[in-house]
Amino acid sequence: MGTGSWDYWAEIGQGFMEAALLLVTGDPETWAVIRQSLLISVTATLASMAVGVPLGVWLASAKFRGRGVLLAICNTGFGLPPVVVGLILSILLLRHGPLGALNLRFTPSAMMIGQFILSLPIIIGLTVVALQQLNPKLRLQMMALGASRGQTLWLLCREIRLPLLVAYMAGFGAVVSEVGASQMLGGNLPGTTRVLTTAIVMETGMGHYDRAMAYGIVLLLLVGLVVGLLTWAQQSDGHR
Amino acid sequence: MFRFARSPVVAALVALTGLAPAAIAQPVNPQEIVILTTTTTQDSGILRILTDAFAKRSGLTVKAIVAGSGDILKQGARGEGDVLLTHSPDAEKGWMAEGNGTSRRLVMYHDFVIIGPEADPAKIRGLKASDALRRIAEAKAPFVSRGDQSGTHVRELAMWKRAGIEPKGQSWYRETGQGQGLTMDVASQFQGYAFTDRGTYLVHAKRIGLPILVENDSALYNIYHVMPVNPAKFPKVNASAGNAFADWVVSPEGQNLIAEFGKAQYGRSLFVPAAGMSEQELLVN
Amino acid sequence: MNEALLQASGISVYRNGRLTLQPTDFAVRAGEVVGIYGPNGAGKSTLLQALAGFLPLSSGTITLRGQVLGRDLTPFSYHRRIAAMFQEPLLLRGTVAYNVALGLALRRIGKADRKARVQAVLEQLKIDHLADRPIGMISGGEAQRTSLARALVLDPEVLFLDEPFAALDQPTRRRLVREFAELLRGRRMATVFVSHDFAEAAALCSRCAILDAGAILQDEPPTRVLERPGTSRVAEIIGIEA
Repeated sequence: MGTGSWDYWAEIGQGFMEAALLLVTGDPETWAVIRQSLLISVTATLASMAVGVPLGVWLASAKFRGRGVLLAICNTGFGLPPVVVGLILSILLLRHGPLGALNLRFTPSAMMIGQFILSLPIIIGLTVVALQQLNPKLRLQMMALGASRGQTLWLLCREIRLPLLVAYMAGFGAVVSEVGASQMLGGNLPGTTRVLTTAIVMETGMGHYDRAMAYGIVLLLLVGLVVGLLTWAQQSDGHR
Repeated sequence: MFRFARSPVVAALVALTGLAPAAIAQPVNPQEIVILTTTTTQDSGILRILTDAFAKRSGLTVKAIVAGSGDILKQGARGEGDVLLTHSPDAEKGWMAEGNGTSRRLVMYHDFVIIGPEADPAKIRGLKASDALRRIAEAKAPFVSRGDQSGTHVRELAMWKRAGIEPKGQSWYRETGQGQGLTMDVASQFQGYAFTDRGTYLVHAKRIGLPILVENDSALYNIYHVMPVNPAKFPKVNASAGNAFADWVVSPEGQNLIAEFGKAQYGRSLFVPAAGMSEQELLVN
Repeated sequence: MNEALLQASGISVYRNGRLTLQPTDFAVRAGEVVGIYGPNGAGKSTLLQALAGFLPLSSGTITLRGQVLGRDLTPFSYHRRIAAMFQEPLLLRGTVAYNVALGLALRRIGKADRKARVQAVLEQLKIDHLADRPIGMISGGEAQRTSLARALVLDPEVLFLDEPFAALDQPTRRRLVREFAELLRGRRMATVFVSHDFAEAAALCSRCAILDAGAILQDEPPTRVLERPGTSRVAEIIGIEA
């Protein structure tokens, strides 16, 4: 088995073109990966918002003993290593483990749960910060206008809608580019739990640079989109 | 609590539950099969071929979980898979001895090779593996190992042992702790020697630029066995699916698929189907 | 006929380890504007917030038209019958009209009805030309008019105002006080007005409670208080020689 000379630029260049081709021609396998990535991460982060924002609103105004501790835990969540979450969750989900009967191991649902856990502290933390920028009397004024609890929650969220968008983007950005927990919980199974990050690792190992680059391009585009939206949101927040 | 455990009543109960499992073995989802296999199998590309074909043939949902050999055997030893496809014969024998599997059948083999720089400073071209490794050690030529407890790494260490060398800690011996592709990349970077399986090598050959210097030594054969996980020990195993896969992969249909793999792209089979043969037969040849 | 619309009996507030409001009686009748005046830290805002049902009481009751808050009336229903305005406008992102209509929208008043009522009150407060202006583009005085309009449009039974003009410059404040006095004339609601400017209180209120260290020292029409301050402390607070 001899080795032909390997022209670096030619090979990489070709890989790049093949990547573009895969994306443009709608190669089913490539698009399945993209679809699953979006499906899993968007669902997880939306759920995280639904739970995290009300919790953040409550935490920002509640006055109880353990509040500081709870806030500290949320902030720790910012630095929570994804692989640790993945490890703990996958151990719980083992067949012979406590949650084995749920048969969640290597399913998109397991990944969604993991990503939900990872993004929740980020969203709670950023919601609290956003609310603390508001005038503390605002909640009082809402009450004074006859707003119910639910209406107050809605109005406050509306006031901080741009910071909430930022929180969502932060949460989404974190989970869509995560690979450790995703591999452990999902197993990188084609069509279901193979997402952009796990696919890149696998394709690189297999020497399929065209595929790996295609996924890399998409991931970069997604991240770019996120950053773009974040920037726009921060800029428009300047003008009330 | 432990005193209680030694009581004869408890012992009897434990014994009884030991007998019962076969009757109560219930896979969580009988339509799914979890195949545990190694990164080498995936990296060479044959895994996808086998799983797609088996999924079609059986109608089961195939979940092929890939990790290093050591990890795979451990997962199997916890009953977290239904069947194993691995290539670490010594570790496998130990695994079977623990009662983790119901059978162990030879499926196929491929071989390992030693690659290195064209210039070959240690002059190992054409030698037998043991001699080649000895020369490398004497010449203190750079050698890059996977160092990740994978099947390949375990075999590499066994070869060093055979040659009577302890490479760990030596200045010329580097470990990446990573997969085959990356390890060969590093070897290429240092223009050093490396130990790899032929299949993965062929996939990355052009990029690596290091020719095969040592091959066709029976000591370098990498033999794959298939082992269904034991439902008596692990009640949640999908035993029928595990057995179905094992039977299929050694059947003429499975064996043909293995033989065809790689022929189109590389001009020769990457794996040699060898169901029905025994390890001894292979190693003698 | 002239019984109290809002009656507080023996209310006190315990906050941060001290009694910020001593057990106090306070009453407001329909059409009356009652002022609360006192030095900084006297507990004016505490009294107002307690009366408005924003603070838990450590004693006493509040009664609105004979219904006891907490017993016959839930805090939520109580808050639907009053309105409040504070020193800062506390407006939400959006237009002036959106903000003024807010209370009505919360009460699920229909769009057409809302529009009419909002238009009327905007005209009264002379900001109808600002209806579609985003709140980031209006002046401080205009913002406070918006906040006032927001409260008035609800036609509350009791209106609470906590130093509403304090953050405005002198000329704006004078103008607003004058207009506000006009607006209040002829309305049937009870108004509680906290101020740190006695002249302002005197101009608007038919009665003024002098508050010091959580206790009401005198509660009479402002002219009476000026003529006959009850104690030297009262005189000191309102700034005259006893």
